[in-house]
Amino acid sequence: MQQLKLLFFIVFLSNNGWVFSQSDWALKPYVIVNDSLYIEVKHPVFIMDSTLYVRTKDSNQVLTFPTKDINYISKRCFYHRLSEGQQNRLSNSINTNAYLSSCMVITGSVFSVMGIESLIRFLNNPGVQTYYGTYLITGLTFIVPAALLIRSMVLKKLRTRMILESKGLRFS
Amino acid sequence: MDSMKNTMLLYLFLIQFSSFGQVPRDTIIVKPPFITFKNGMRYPVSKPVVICDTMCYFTNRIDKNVYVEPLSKIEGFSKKNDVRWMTYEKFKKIGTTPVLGYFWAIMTFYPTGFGVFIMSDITKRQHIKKIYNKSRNVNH
Repeated sequence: MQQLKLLFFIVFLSNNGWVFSQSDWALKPYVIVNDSLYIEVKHPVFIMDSTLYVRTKDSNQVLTFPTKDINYISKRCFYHRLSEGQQNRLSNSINTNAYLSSCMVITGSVFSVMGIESLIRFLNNPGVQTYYGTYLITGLTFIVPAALLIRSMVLKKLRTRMILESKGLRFS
Repeated sequence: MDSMKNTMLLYLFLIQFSSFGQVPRDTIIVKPPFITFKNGMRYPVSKPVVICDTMCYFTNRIDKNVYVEPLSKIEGFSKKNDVRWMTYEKFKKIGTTPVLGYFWAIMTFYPTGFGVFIMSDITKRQHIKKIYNKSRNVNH
């Protein structure tokens, strides 16, 4: 049974490259417009009010297309359709959230370091003490939401900037 | 002694007089944040600047008046600008609802300093509210 499992695993690994090369994941994020335009894009890619907003990889320009003209958005674009509530949240201030997330990152880092230290201590002396991983879990509990919060703040900034640039405004 | 005093007074007068010298208009440096218009003019603005539909709402940092200009006239924004894009519904909502959170800002001011950031957010919201209310009296 173990050998069969190993065989399946080896078969999976050997085919993984082929499967990967056939899929979208091997290519950089791109969109196809009007069956003719192939545009390599940067993150974030989003749809708002039936318009697709993309930033080109080559010229760093923001382009907008009506969604009816879009033929394909690759998987690596991770595009998002902004709802009305998300549109309204784009203008919210981020100072409080930034402070909160930085506090959470610092607290989480302290707990994680303590957890890693106790893990190293346990690995060096496995029979002497037990390891519960409480500190490590607590650290991650702080860091993961903080990272998500920071990501949402960065996305908010980038999306706002893209919307403004699409209106022909320039940031110097 | 008197002549020395008179000379000193003359020097002081000349120094004071020179400080009122005229500066040519093209050498005035507008510090950020500012808005650059397509005609080349730069207007110093207070943060935040609101962009709503096809209009830009901003407060001039010098005369403290609110201006409403179409986006077609605007070239761009300087680096330190806090430009907010929002729908008109959101802008109206901020402009018509009371700004809350002062209690929590004061309560969390010390010892964590959390209140400073809440207060900063509240101030900006209050500023947007002021822009909305003043912009209703501005002719587009």
